[in-house]
Amino acid sequence: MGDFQEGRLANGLRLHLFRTTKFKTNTLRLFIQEPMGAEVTATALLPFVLRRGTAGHPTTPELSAVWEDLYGAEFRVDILKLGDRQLQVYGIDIVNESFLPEPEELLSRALGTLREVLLEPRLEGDLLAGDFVGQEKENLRRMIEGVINDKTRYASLRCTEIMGRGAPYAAFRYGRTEDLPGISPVELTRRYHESLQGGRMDLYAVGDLSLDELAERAERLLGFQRSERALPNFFPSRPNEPERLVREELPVHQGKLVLGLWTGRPPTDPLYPALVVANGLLGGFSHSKLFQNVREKASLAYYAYSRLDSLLGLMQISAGIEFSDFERTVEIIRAQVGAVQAGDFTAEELDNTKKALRNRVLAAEDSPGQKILTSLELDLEGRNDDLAERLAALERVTPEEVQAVAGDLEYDTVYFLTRGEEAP
Amino acid sequence: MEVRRDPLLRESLYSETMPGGLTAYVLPKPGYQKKFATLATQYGSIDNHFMAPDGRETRVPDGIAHFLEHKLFEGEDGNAADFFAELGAASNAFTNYTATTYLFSATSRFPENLDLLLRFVGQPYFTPENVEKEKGIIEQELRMYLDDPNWRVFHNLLGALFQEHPVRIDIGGTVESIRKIDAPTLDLCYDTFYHPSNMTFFAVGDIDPEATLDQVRETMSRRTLSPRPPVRRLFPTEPAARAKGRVEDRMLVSEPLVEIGFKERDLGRENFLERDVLTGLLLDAIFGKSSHLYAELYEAGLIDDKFSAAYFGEAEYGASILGGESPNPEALLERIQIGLERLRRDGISEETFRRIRRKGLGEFLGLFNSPEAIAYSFNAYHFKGYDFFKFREAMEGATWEAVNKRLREHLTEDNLSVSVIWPAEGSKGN
Repeated sequence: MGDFQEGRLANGLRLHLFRTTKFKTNTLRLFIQEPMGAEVTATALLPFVLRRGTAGHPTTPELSAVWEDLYGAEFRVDILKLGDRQLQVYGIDIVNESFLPEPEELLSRALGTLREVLLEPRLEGDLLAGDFVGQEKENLRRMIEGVINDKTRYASLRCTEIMGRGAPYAAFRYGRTEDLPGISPVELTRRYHESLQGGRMDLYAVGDLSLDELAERAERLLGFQRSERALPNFFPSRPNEPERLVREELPVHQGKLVLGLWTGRPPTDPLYPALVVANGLLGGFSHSKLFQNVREKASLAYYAYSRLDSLLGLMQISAGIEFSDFERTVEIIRAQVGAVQAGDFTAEELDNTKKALRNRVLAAEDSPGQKILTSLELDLEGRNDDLAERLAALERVTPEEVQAVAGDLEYDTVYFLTRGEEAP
Repeated sequence: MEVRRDPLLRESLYSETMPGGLTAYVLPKPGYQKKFATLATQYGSIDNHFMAPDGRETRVPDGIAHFLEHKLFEGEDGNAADFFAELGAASNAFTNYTATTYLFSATSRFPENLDLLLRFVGQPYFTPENVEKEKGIIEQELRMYLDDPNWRVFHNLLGALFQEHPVRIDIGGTVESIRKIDAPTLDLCYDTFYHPSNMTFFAVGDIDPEATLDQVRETMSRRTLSPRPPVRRLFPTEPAARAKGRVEDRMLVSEPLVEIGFKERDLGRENFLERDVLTGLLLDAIFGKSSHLYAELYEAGLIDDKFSAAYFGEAEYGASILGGESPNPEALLERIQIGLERLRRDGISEETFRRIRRKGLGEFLGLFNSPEAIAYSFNAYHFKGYDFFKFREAMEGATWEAVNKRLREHLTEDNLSVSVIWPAEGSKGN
């Protein structure tokens, strides 16, 4: 719903189309959605194995050449985590053939190749090819261990992990290295059939084509027999435990501070828009309280912001600081949260926040990938507001509502990634 | 005002040179929500030695162009970022080796935001207090980059490739060098490099090109500036040979990072575009995902999806740079050298060349979805003396023979440097 036209194949695959001629490309995203669970790692492997080669194009160079020949069609796979859902993503960005000097059928060929990747993998007997499985397990291990290279992201993931207390949603979207040895081609092939059969499938498209055209091709290519499992709704409940401090020591040049809070509000809550505004006011932009007070006034950090995870009901406040500034920074951060809770913000601050949010929402309309992701998130959030409704809801938020949602914020964890006892 | 239309892209570019010498461009994008504008000056971290307007030969501390970019937002009556926020726009700026760019992105009130952009960049306000305050912030920014292995492996490589050229200096300078920056030096740099004749304006979005250019012309004509010849930039003579073959470092990473650079020997502005296009096609043909060398390296576990190759080039310096993460940098380097030797001998096939060129044309087309990509590409080529629309023609004009010639001349053994980052003690998985 919302801005996309909707359709559905007989086998349950949902179609979403946003028709526009404003882009030079057509954008497709196929999502297979399942709950995060014990098989998180095996599921994470699937797209990376499948994109390596198909029955018709059994080597990776051959298959890559097919995409390249379509005027450099970008075919990318990945894993997303949204709330407690793990999603396999298969994405195609392809030139709109009307821009070519001579006409060519690019989109149909691209969809045909997508079908090959998904439904006709290279097999050894009945199993996914052993060399692909082995190589991609190794690559997945490297991706999981490689998180440490981006210290800011590492700190954020650690904070979520700690807050999650072992819940499935707290795991990294690529899974755990400990699981890898236990994943054989037999296991992975079983997981492959399960997820194709039972995972929720959505095909999004943004570009110059009609819903009928999309449906016709999708029915022909992806209309295979399947039966989706129902996906339970989930929203974490707050642990109601005292706040914890977790210090981690590693050889870093800069301290990474993350404060994790619970919001207590799912996206379907009537005051959810106020939560978005409160988060923006606190630390979403360079005019926000965190940036102004931690960076501009106290010169303690280059970055200081807050991020909302709407589906999990958590907020993270992050800053990169000098190791010895830990106490002072935490104090200033708590003071900013307190200020929002006390209503200590001006009409101008609130207005600037709304304007910035409006700007951000509108700017996403100019990116086909962003537009698709936004629609997917709204769907998971159980909202189907179109663009105008979303903008209006943000505009309607009052200072009292901002105060109210801020008042419900609960601190859970203070996480600090630091060098150690000696100062740099 | 001039209008040029690219019939294949179905885009039009409106342009004019304004009073004072500012070049201004508008590329209308009907139906887009975002209105995006940049104001850029050809002043980057490499410009640390120059003739000041008063005729004096001047050297400035490392990192000052970037420092100036931070400080320019502050005016006597407040911070420009705050004023953009009041107008509902997102503003930002960045400095690289050769240019400093100020930008905003707005979905409404474009004329007011444009006026603010032109005004704040035109009004420097550097005081001892506000200069001091920024040092703490920039110090944290520098430390953040020190923790970034992708930045470090690249920066170290530049130090190995270039003996003297200031491209080997970190864009932000160092914690020590920025401490030496003061308000009078910032004023001098501003005066030297922020003359409109050294700058360019670019706007993309659902805007009226003529009204936008009118507004820019109006603003620039109100400024009284005496004309200036182009800035005399002074660069050391960079020897053709690399500085050293190898540089190594240790950081908190899960596995080694490695980058290999091939130093450019064929310099000059006249054939830069051709060199740029040919090298891009060459690197994609050899190191792209459909190549046999890529498959060999990937299947051996020596590279992963993050492996990439690109041409890092200006008119007067350059290098082809490739790399990524690898559990065995030595084996990777060896296999690449063997693979290149084979390719230099056998050549790249005509079929591969055609396919890679189709890919390049598709990528060029797709770039025009993004206002940022459009503006940044046009600006970068403009400062090198080129019109970005010509990129497609250059790509269509590339030949299989020229790509193979470039392979034999540029990707050789003697102009190669390697940069490795090894996992430090205390790294996980180490």
